Amino acid sequence: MELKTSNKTRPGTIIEKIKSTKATTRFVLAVLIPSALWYLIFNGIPMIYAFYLSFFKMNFLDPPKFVGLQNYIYSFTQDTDLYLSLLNTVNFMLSTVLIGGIIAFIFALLLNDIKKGAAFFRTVYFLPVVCSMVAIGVLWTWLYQPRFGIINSFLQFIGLGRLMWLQSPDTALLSVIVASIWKGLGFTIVIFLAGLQGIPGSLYEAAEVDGANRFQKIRHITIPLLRPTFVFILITGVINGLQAFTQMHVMTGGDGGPLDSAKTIVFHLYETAFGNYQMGRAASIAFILFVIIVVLTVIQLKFTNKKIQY
Amino acid sequence: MKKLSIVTLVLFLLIVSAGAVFAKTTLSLWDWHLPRMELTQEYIEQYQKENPGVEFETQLVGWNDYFIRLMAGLAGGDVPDIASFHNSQAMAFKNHLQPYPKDLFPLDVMRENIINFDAAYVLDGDNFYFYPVGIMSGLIFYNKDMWAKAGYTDADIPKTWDEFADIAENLTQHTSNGNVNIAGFALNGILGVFWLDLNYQKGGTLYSEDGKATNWNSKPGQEALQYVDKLVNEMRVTEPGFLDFTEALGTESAAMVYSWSWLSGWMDTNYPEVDYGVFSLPTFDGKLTPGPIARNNHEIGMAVMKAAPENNKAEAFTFLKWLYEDTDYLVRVNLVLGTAPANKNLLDDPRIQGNPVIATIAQQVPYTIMPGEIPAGVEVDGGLATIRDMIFNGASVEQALKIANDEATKELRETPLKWYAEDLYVPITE
Repeated sequence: MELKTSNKTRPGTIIEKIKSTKATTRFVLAVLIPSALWYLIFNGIPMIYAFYLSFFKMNFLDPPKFVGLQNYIYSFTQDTDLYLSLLNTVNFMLSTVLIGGIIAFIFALLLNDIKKGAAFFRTVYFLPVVCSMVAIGVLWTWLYQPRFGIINSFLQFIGLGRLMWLQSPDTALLSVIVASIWKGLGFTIVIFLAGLQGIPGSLYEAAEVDGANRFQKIRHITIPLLRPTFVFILITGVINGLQAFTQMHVMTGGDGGPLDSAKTIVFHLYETAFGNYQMGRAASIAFILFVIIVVLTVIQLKFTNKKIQY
Repeated sequence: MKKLSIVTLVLFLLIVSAGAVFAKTTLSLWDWHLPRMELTQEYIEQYQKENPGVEFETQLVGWNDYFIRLMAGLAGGDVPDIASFHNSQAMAFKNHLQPYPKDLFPLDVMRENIINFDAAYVLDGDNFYFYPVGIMSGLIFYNKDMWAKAGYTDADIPKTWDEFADIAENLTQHTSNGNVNIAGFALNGILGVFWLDLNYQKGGTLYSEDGKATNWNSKPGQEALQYVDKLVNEMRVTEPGFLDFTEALGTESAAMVYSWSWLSGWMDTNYPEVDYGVFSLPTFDGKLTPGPIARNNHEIGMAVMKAAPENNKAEAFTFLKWLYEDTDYLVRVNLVLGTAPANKNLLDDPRIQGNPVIATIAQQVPYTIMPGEIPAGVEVDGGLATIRDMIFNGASVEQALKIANDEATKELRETPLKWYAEDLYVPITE
């Protein structure tokens, strides 16, 4: 009798263990295990291999040579392109997250108040999100074209001069930022709208009874209760911003813009790996970026982890 | 029963041995250049008729991904037997290429027939890894209609850069608000490469004498860039943000552009209606000697991958010998690529002489220099590209050369040249 109980609680084989688990647990495992395996094989193992590579001089063409921390030391001490691209990346990330976030928040507030046609506007704003970044990049490249582009045509029509949007180091990154904000706006609006619709209407009604105006309601009800949404948008925006590559590559014709003014860290990584065939060095840049993203995410979580309750 | 077993066994052995006798060798071949691939395909079909035991699997891979695919293929054990090659990648991939066998391609014959053979093709010892096909260099392309409308004839083709600048200025048209409407001379996208030719004309070089650094911020370099700066920022024959030189000529937005001779093939494919002509680069004193008056590059042919099975390698070289011994193919592939044949015996071919672009490049080639390897960080990712960006954005000549030179030298320190041939140029006497 004792033995039987023991077998039930501590089954010997995997099959017995599976049999002894609840049906719901088995279902959850059946659903999760393929995804976990997929992630492990196609993300986890390559990541570990990339970390291993970062300690080698390696180009897939010659035998790899172990160089210890040399790739990291080079990145920190001699790779001036890394610092320039990091600065560009931070500029890009801050602009898209802050400016894009503020614009999306305002649009979401306006859309939330619309009773008729809200779905239409949501669809319109969301359309660029479902378009390929490459297509969007090509589209904006033509909009910015100095001679025939619609933006310069408009500037000239209202009596202003032409700007060399993507051809000038002063405006190349800005041009990419504008296109990227336009592309991502719909997604952020939808997230804000979901958050706004989760705020109970009774809170606004109570505030109205107390004589609060629109600004006060936004300031004291909407913004505090949207804190989790802001955190989500901030974290995903920062991560996406730090990983930006496609739009720069497409809009600058693959060269990072005049004087590398629109070259981001991932662009630099790509160029190092596939332009110069320096896989080990590129892997070290990837892990420097990884550490930056982790540190920023932890900081953000720490400073935004306050709960709001009314 | 025993008899039946013996008959079955004999039949089986017959089938197996017949299969072995009639087994075909399949050669895989990659290229990135569609017109060249289409031409090669014609010859492959002919070769297959003559050699029914050989089959081909051809694959077109876009230029942007070509060498990344090849590199990934090497890492993953999936490479073609034969790959079209470009000498910008020669040193990176050299260890994975099979040297051309000297019994099939004797060196003395190659040296006798091929222009600049040692400087352009022999990478170590006596080994060469890809077949010499053609030579390319920079030319001036001009729009014939604009040229005629401005009253110019063939007699006005400039011999000096001063004459050239006057013509470029005359052909430039500005809008009422001062923007360039028609560029007299569009250098956009290629300014740094153009400067390098002028630098050579002034007596400068791409590399220092030992090939370990660049020396661009020198008197020849500065004088050459001052001329370019005058064209762009003083005479305003083009402007920042103007169309890239290819589109500028194609859309008839520029009267003249500087380009390497491949542009002829590109124009014929994309803008066949545009009537253009070409002429050799002018010089500062109107003389071609002692040269060099420009850089050249050799358009190389196919290479055999070292990782290919031994039998396929032998079969691949047999095919390549058959292909490259066919002068008709060599002439046609040069016409497709817009290059002068590397084989000097083909320079007089009526089809070569009848093509104005290739005839012009063929005349210019003896006065051009092959510097050897040019890393991407010296030509496209920094260096010459930096000169272009800085001049178009109003930097001074000295500042542009200093920054570009620092970048290029840093690149060379980082990845020293393995193939340096600039010192092999022999000045030409009158």
